[in-house]
Amino acid sequence: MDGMLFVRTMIAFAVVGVAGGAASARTAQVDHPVRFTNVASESGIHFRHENGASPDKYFPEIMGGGAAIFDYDNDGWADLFLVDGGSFVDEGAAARARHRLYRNRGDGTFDDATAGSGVAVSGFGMGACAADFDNDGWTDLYVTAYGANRLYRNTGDGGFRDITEAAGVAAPDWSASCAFGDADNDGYVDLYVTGYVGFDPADNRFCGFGDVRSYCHPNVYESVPDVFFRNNGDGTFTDATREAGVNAAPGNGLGVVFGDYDADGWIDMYVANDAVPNYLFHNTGNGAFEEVAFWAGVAVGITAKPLAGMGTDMGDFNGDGLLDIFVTNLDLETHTLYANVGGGLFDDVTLRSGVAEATLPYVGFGAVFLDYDNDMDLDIAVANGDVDDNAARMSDTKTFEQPNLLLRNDGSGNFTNVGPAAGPGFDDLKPSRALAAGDLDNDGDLDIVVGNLGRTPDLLRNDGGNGANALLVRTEGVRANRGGVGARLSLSVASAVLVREVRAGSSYLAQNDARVHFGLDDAARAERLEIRWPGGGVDVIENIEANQILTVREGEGIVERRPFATD
Amino acid sequence: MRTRSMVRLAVLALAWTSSADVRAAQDLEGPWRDRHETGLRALAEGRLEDAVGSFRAAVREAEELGPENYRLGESLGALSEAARRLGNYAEAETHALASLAILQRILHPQDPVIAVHRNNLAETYWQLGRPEDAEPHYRLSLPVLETALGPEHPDVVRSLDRLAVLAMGRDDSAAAVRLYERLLAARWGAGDDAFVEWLDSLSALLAIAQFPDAERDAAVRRFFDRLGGVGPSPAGYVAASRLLFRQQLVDVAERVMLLAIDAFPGSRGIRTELAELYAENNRLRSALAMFDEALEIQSAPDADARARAQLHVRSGHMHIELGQFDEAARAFERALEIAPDAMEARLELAGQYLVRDMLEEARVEYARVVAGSPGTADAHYGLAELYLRLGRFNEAAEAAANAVEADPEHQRARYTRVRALARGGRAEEGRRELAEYQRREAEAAASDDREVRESAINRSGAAALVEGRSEAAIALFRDGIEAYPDAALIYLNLGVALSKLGRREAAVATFQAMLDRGCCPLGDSYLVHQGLAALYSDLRDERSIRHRALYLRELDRALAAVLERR
Repeated sequence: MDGMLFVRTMIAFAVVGVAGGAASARTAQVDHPVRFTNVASESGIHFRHENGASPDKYFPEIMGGGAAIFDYDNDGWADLFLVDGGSFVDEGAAARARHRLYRNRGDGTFDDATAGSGVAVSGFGMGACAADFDNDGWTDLYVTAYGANRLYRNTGDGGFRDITEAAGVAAPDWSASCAFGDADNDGYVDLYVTGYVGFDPADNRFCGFGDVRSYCHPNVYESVPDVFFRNNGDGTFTDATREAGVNAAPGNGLGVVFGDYDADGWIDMYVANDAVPNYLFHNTGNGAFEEVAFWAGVAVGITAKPLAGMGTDMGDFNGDGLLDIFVTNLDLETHTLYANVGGGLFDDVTLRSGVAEATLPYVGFGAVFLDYDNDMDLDIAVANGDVDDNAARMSDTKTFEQPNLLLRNDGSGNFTNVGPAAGPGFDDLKPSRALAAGDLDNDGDLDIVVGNLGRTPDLLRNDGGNGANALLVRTEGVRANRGGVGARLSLSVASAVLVREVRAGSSYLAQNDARVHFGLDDAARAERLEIRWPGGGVDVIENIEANQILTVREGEGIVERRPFATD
Repeated sequence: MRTRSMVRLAVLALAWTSSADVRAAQDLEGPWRDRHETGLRALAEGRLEDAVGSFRAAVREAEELGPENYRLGESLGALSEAARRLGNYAEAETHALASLAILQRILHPQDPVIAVHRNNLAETYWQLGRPEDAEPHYRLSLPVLETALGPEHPDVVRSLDRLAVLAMGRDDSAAAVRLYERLLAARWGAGDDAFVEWLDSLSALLAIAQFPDAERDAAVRRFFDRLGGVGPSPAGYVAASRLLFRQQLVDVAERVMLLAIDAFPGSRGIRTELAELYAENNRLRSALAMFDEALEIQSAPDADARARAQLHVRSGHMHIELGQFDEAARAFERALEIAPDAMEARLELAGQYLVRDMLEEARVEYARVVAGSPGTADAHYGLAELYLRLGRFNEAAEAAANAVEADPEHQRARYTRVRALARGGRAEEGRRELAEYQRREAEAAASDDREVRESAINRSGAAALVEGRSEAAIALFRDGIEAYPDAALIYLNLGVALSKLGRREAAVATFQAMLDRGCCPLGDSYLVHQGLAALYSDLRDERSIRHRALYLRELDRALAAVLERR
């Protein structure tokens, strides 16, 4: 019997359900129209990613395109960092490649603040994540690369200083995604960096089928181990990969996200691996981990085989208070949605949630749980693009450039792609990679930044999401790490409890706005906000009016309020 | 040109109803006929013990008619055949000799009936390990059978193969070459020298498939030039196409199948094969169109339903991969309308219900599949998923165990069992099952990794050679062999590369080392022998002819193997 039979059947009829009796449940009912418009160019974002695409198919050419949203100058407006690549064959292009730092002017436009910022070097960059690792009140930046990674300390004057060597976080092999999280709750964020594969341009292999050359399968190369850096609290880090128990078999790591999936107060980690099983590192306390992905049910897909894990995120899509997991994969694999059923176990709901139907034809990279329409449930945005720039030569259905997806949650955990109806921002076909979400215009709805391989990025302005109410919460730790990374926010509103966590790095090569966004639908206020800080501190705030940006300091409650911006 | 009666004889011989119909058509009444025909039916249906019993009874009836009667010879021959198939070779020999003795007294020495029984006797001797006794009977029967049954008849092909083996055993490679050439032509196409030349051009192209240079372009042209002058059988076209596809000569493989359609415009199988080729090459729209074309070919209604249902199922699969899910659903439903007993389509339907959360309907469908075919692992697996959904974890674990019992390689079921045991609180059992699942996965992953790495080595080495980086290419191949000492294709490509560079002795040594290591898991030894035959010929070494014979023998096996399984 064909081993794929059952899977095909399951995939087929997941969709048939849409055409049949379950159709109404999965048809998006957008109460207020939400449209995304790509305003990158008019906003002053004139970056074009250099991936060095060549006929020789050097592997890193196809993997880059990172993006990070973070407020580097503490002005309350989320800024933008775009990671550039390089070239293996064109020295000029390699020399010209440089990352870009765009300062948000707060009026819908950005200044190119790269010059003099100290972050312009590329070195075939991949992704980025940002957190205040030294608790000085300024968000620092870590950039991954094919080659040595860089840690830039934010000097607080609009610039950054490369302190990689001193901090001991170079990780010279090919790294992809990174994320900060306080694994041992000592008040300092630690750093996880995924290692991809040991590609050597001097030994560039020829891969392909027939006479069509393609980028190689990752397993042609040896895996590069992930690295876990423990923050020493003195501006340096220690490679604690082995000591922390995260030295599982090397995994072609591409995506990583921190999240406390068992809600025990110790932050866990999920790693999306390419063509090998994914990892779920359960924090057993004090920053020691055990790898439990198979037992938990999140290592492989519905075929019980490893998938091409790329990007990942955690979020409570079904409102049960438990963090679920989303992973992007190759086309014909479907992206994967694992529902947390408690007890440390997950259920693969890819088929019956509609995710299979929506994602089957696409190669996914960046992915974010977000409530783009402020209706209180988490939707999913996905960046797609094939892994071969000549995909069309190898198939009569595949294309390198693919549409990105906006998967709307109908409130019962069923997802439908509403991208085609969500305006021009989701119409374009591009080879997309990183995807990050954040309220770039502080208007109460989430905008999206997409890093496109070898192309200009997308800045997708959300128009209409704030037709419903929302809250934006910035956390400031005191005993906990300064950014409050890992804090768990539970907002009681309209008989629901919305659970979100503060993140510093997730998706694929990306970082979202670290401020926590809550859609409130038509609720004018939330009854209660509970913040459980890393380390165990708890703050409770009651009776919170909608449509404002709050800064909550650990132990002090709300220390700053700002209304959402209007036109 | 064969006569009509000879054609009829061929048909009769195939069903083992041979000469009784020809010689005793006027006298088929009575107890002998009943018993003999009962035996023939049993033989045709593989009920060998029953056949032996019936033929023994028929022999007893025939003996009543006197020692020199034709019916006795016929039944003794049939009894011999049945005994041989049962592995009772000594009994088979006795009966065959007695049968031949009678028939030779009655019939002309060149009578096809005698040839049939003589050939059976030869095969009995072969099975007894007495090839020297077998050989004269093969020799005597072969020309008569070739004329009477046709050169493509399995008995003819087998006889040629046996005689070739005997020739090889006598170190008469030249004779073996002639016999294998006849065999290949008989089995895969037209019986003339030009056909073997076409097969040679196929092998020559396959050997250099991974080296995209002018020499390969010329080999492609030569291959098609020669194809134009010969007529492969449908099986010949399909086997050649599959070998070409396996060597990633995708366009060439497709063109072969398009020519096959021209040659056999009424063949559904040819179109299905081309559709599968498209599907395997990610040309899903083309595959879908070709499956649809295949569905338009009409054939006998009785045999048609299952075949048509299968085509609808495959169309459904294409629609799924194209994201055309409604169409896929309709294709599966259509398959079930045509053939309600089509298990695969039934499983698809059950899957539909499961995903729609129509759990009771799914359970009923899976149960129907299990009732009809209890060993269907996928049905048990579906039930396991269903029970898991219902929170009936013990039943899920049990159903998954049934799936694994039916198919120990069913890793999805094994992992579903892990999940069911975990959810059901049976952690110890679950962890044991998980360990087994992971052990098997690790083995599979190691094998998969090796495959992609070997492929990259081969493609990289070939590319380096084509780009003129000869030493880099050789080094890549040699490094590959060091990493994977049993990697047949790397040896082959190294040998081809050395040949292309004119380093004949080194190429010979490489090919020979490959053979010494027990070449070739993928059945590519014919390419090695072809290479050695050519190299030895260039070196004026008399071993050339022996490798030519071995090449032809292995080529036939490779064609048969690839036809058996894509």
